[in-house]
Amino acid sequence: MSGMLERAQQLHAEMSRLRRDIHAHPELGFQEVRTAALVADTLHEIGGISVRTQVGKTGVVGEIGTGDGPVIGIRADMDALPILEESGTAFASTNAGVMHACGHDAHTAILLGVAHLLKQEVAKGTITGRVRFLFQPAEEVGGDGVSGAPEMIKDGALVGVDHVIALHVASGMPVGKVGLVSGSNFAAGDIFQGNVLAAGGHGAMPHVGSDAVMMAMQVVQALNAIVSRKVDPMLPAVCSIGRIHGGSAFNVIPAVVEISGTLRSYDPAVRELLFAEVERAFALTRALGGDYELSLVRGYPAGYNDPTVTQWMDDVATQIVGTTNIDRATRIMGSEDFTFMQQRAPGTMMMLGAAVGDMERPHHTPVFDIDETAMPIGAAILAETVVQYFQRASGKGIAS
Amino acid sequence: MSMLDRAHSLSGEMSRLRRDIHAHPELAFEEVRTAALVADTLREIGGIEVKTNVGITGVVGSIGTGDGPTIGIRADMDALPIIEESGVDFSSTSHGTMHACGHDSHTAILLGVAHLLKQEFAKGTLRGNVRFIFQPAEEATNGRHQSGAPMMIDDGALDGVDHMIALHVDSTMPVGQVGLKSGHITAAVDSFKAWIRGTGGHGAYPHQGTDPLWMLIPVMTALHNIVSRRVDPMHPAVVSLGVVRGGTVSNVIPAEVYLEGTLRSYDAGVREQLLKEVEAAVALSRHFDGDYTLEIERGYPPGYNDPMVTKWMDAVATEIVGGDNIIRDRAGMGAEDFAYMQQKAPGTMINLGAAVGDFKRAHHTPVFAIDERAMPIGAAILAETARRFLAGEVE
Repeated sequence: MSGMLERAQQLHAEMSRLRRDIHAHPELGFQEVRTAALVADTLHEIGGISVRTQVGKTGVVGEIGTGDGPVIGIRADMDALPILEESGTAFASTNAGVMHACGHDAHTAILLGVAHLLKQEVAKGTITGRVRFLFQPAEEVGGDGVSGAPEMIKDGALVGVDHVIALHVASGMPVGKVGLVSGSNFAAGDIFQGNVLAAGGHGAMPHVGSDAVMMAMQVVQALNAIVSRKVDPMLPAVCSIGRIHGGSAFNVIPAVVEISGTLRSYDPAVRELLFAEVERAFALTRALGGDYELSLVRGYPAGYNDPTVTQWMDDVATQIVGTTNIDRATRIMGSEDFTFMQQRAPGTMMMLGAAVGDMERPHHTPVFDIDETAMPIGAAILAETVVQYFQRASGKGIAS
Repeated sequence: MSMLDRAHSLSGEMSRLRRDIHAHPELAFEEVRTAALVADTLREIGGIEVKTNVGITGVVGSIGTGDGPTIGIRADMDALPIIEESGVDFSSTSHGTMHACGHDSHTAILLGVAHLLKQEFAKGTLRGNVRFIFQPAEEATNGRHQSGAPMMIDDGALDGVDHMIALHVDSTMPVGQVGLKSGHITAAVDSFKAWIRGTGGHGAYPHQGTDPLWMLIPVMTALHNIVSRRVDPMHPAVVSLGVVRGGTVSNVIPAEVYLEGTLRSYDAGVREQLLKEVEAAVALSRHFDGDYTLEIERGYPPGYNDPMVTKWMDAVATEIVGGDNIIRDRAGMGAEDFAYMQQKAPGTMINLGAAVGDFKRAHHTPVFAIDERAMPIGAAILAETARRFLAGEVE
């Protein structure tokens, strides 16, 4: 395996420095200007990498290698979240209210480490095709359903890419373990945003008008029972209300109550069923003398780890962390816009164990943090997968 | 002659037995005539030690060399309280009772298997034993809340058995197809009964008492939200209410409302979680000055097909029906008390395609029927699996 892990470990300080710099300067989706500049500068410093900026708005694409061999893409996301950081780290966010609470800072730093490692490989002549580094903005979708991966694809970032790989840190998994599921691994994630509409009225005279709060209550009941009553229990599904808002004063019956939420599913038919049932739930308002507006925003499709690519990564991970440290079973209801890239080119996302271990530090919370000793492991697996990819493509077989 | 050819030559005999049993269906733990027919047939075959009244009305037949490993093959014998409307000319002669789940054919197939394995033992190439387990009451429980499988286990029917195999006909799967899945196939099933109590009162004066019908609304909402809000969506689970009953006349607020429901799950942790959440839901009644009584009846454990035994059966079925005719991903929230036997001895149940194909003849309906041409296929797969196990031809 040519000591890839050892070489990655030599880059630990560099990856840590980059990650902490990005962590201290988090930027929201499509606003990753400083981060993108740092990425582009670092790629230029490494050298031998052609760099394109402003791909998919704030994305950066680097390419290394030559020739007519196959092209493999490696993706990292760069955006932070609108969360006020309370992690207690010395390099905590200097941008109050914005935080890298999902580890995208680490993803970006790891991919820069991978660029270092593969630059060394180019010098050895092992890269007999091209490697494309995909630094993506806006993985965390906004309410409009627009995220970074489709924007980068629109700008041609995946043109000519044969396979694509990526990783995601997991703050609930110990360092030294990885997750590699073949087939379905992430849920489709969709958004519903509805308004319950009524006449409203005076709080003292409910009978004169009509009450959007009462109607909203019925809608919520129906929404919460979709999964338990309408979906095949063998097929995973979630319908969660994330936001409910109505009214302005205690004695005014509101005319509008907003209800919005997320829908998760694996099976395409279940995905359509959820849409139809959400519509039916809101339509209850009409039976109650009110009305509704509903927009259903299609988000990320269900993720699918290509079995062949997964096997390649599994082989490498087996060498680097050992087969007993690979979780091949755990699928989650989370969603990932990497799935858009997987629709373009067969690919696999690996989960990288990065738990700090002191306390629960869940993703998307103010106390999120990772153990940076995971970074060389992730960089080594990605880089070695690429090296073996070209060995395979050139028929040289895999040195083990 | 292949096992399938030999099974085909028994199809007349299996059909005769199945139709006899079908015409004389008996409910759970009342399978007296059926058990006698089974015991008589096993004795006619010969070389089989027969024990009756195992697990009340069950029958166990044993054949073998005494030493070596033992494989058990199970068939269930009980019928259902359904008025038959299948239109077959060997319809139930016991009005209101019907073999509407195919247990008649399971029993006939296992008698066919006994014929086939008797022939195998006569060749002297096998070492080990086969236990034919004819089980009562797969569909219902007795006064002690036990169905047939645990009753037979209590009576020692599975003592010394290393592995169990069984089949279940499937009236929705074409003849020639087989369902064979490794791992979980059926759900754990528990049931609950709940009484929600208030004081009751006059319908015109609700404020003077407490109203269990009103308390029922948050209780039912909570029950229906258990799966959607409390259970890991990656783990299958069901909470369904089957009975809601309360009150007598329009102007009397009842003092009590009665609920009954079923709980289904695969994962052991989810199973316990459902029981706790049901309690939390009915306890909402106390919040509104009511009270409740909750009774939980633990039912069948989840059915788990042992991967190794499943592989053996898959190899056999691949030869008999072809790999393309094996459905390997069928699992559902149904329950099977064979799961108790699988807990005792790792084993596998297969689904045997037996659709008549004229129209939908669903299990547990008055029009249920099967295509008997499935029977030799099922008998051959069971017999060949047992033969290979005892001939040491499995891995």
